[in-house]
Amino acid sequence: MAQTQSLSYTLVITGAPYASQAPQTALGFASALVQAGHRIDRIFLYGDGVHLASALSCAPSDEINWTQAWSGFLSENGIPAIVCVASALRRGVLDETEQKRYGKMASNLVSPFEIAGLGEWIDSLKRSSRTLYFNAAD
Amino acid sequence: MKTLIIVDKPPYGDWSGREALDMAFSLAAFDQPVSLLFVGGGVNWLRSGQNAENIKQKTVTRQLGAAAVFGIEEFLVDSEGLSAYGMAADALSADVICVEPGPDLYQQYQHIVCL
Amino acid sequence: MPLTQTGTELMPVLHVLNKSPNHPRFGYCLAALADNDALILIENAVFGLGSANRFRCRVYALQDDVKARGLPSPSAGEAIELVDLPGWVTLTATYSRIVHW
Repeated sequence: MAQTQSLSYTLVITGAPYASQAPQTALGFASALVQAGHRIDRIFLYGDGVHLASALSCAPSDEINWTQAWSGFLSENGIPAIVCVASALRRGVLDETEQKRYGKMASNLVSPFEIAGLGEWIDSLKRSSRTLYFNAAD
Repeated sequence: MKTLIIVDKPPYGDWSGREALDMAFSLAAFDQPVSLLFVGGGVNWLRSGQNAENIKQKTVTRQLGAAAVFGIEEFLVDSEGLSAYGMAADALSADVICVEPGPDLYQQYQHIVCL
Repeated sequence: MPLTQTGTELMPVLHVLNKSPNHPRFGYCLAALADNDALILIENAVFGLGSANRFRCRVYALQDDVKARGLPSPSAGEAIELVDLPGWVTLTATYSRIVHW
């Protein structure tokens, strides 16, 4: 078993919070990865997964706000997090640059997420020891 | 680094196939070898005679046509899926290789993506 | 050990399945399994614990998802191992090839 060997991971999340279990499962897995001493190269949100990076999501007080939970985890551990630009623009997840470019009334990208293209995902395929996907179930 | 992108849902009814295709196009744009595998309902991407004008979407046939130009290496199609949807391999909108998906096929790819 | 047509051994794969047994993806995953692969059932796929005899390889299931859905733990006779999150992490470190269905 490779338990003692430290590996690098990229986690791709394509399932949306409150529509799928994907962000929860991924956060549990990511915490366990960090505890096991592995490195997370980046989190990549794709497709419906980009909703996780919307700072405007408000969970009822007795439910976990998955955006805040993820944002906190990423900041505490200094993990880079990317939101795919093509998926994000279509679904209304914008940073200030995109807000200005498209003349929209507000931006809503939660930190530390940044908007970038699929090139970041390809970089992960090349560089990370493992690239894992967290898709919506059914 | 050879990647296989699996499309298993029909076009138009949801967006996942388009997003899978975007991944394939990106890989090709970065000169990474990539193949597409259409299984189950995904074989309907290859049906000839599609026209999505009235449902206000882009007909996917044209996008698939661009795939070869942009360097997507091959279109693989699950023979069982073809027969399930009453489609013949020689009457599709693109040149395909018929396969029976299993361990031997998947083994040829370093990365497999099924959104 | 399964052999490819060229006679080389297949590299073992960890399959991660999160779809219910009646989802087409469940079947595609089953068709992709080789004898020396491993399969981990997570999220809705744990409903497939009962049909474990359909799997031809080692099978794990994510304990938290089994418990959440009120499913009985597999008995010792069934060749299914429950794992926690650190256990899943270990599996992903052990297998260099991973496919998510």
